[in-house]
Amino acid sequence: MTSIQEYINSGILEQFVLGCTTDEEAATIAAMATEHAAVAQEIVAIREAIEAFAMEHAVTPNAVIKPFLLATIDYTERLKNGEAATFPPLLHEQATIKDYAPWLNRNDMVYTGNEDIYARIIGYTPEVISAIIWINNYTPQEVHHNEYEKFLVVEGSCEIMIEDEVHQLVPGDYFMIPLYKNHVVHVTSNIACKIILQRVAA
Amino acid sequence: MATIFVVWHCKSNCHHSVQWITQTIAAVNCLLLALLSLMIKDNPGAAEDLLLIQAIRNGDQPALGTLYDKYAPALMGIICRIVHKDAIADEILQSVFQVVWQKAGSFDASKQSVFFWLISMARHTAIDKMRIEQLANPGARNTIYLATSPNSNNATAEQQLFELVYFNGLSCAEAATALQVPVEYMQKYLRLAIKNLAGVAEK
Repeated sequence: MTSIQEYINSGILEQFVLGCTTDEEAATIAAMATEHAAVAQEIVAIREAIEAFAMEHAVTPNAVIKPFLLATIDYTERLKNGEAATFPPLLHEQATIKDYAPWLNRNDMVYTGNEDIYARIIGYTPEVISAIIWINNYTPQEVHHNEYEKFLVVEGSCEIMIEDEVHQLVPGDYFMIPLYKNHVVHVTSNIACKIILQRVAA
Repeated sequence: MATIFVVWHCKSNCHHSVQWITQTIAAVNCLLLALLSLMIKDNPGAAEDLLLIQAIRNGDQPALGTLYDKYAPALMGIICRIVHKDAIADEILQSVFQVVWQKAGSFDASKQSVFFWLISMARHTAIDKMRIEQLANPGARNTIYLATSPNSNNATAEQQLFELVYFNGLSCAEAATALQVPVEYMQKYLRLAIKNLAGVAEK
């Protein structure tokens, strides 16, 4: 038992948990863990210490990451299930809501949940991502360094603050966020603000 | 004790099942047994994680959202300490959960917890990204080492060693050399550092 305790005290298990052991050492440790419950328990305890440390130093991620993550997965799954890829037209000053009717009128492009920000991707190329976005309250501050963000408001209304300028937008309005500018969107309507959004590589 | 027994039992069960049924069913068995063992151990958080992984395997997208809500902040904390650019950190966080979506089927509950699996993925993805950045910009290498900890000036040698390994992906030997810690003390230092982490977290 003493030798097992010495083995545990040596610090080799910490090295193992951090992925710092050779394959050979790792195999020996795995065998030791099978044989000795104390070794297995110590490995679990070391991992739990690292888990607790991670929780302790948590950093809240930007609130737009989650809706875009889920939208990306949803889109990938739709393509996998046979949906044909489509390419919505590029947004520009004269773009109208009608240009996007084939996507806006789809029965499955609806916002039923209660997420603050909800996104569905309607087109993807390495240069342009097109999506329908519903924003309930506001979007967090963002700065884009390598892509232009273009909006077309479809329903509801919002104001976009770019540094100290404020732009009021209603259905049919187009707007492009300049690069490197801090911007925030605040919804001003009672209903969620629904927009067509495109992120275009700069 | 009960946990360890059930977990290992589950592993051998997996091995047999592969011969008879499909690998998927074996994996599900394994997961269910691990789940049962966690319930016995009264660890509802970890049991809930296994249920989420099971749901993700079955294509349940909201389950991925729930897992994200639970762990994304902890992972972001790690990622931000490794890469120092917000846009890259955001990308890494998103890619970790995309991998979870694709690889939930191969998650082995007998080897580690869901949370530790996520931590390892976040660390490795971020460290790989950091190395690519360092190769592109070799001058930054030393600065990154020293800038790891916000309080590196008064951090103990044990903490610094842990951080070089954990956040900079150095091997233990490299970290020991960088800090001029004799190699024979390296493992002890690492053990001490992790013991201290637990102390910090419990406060």
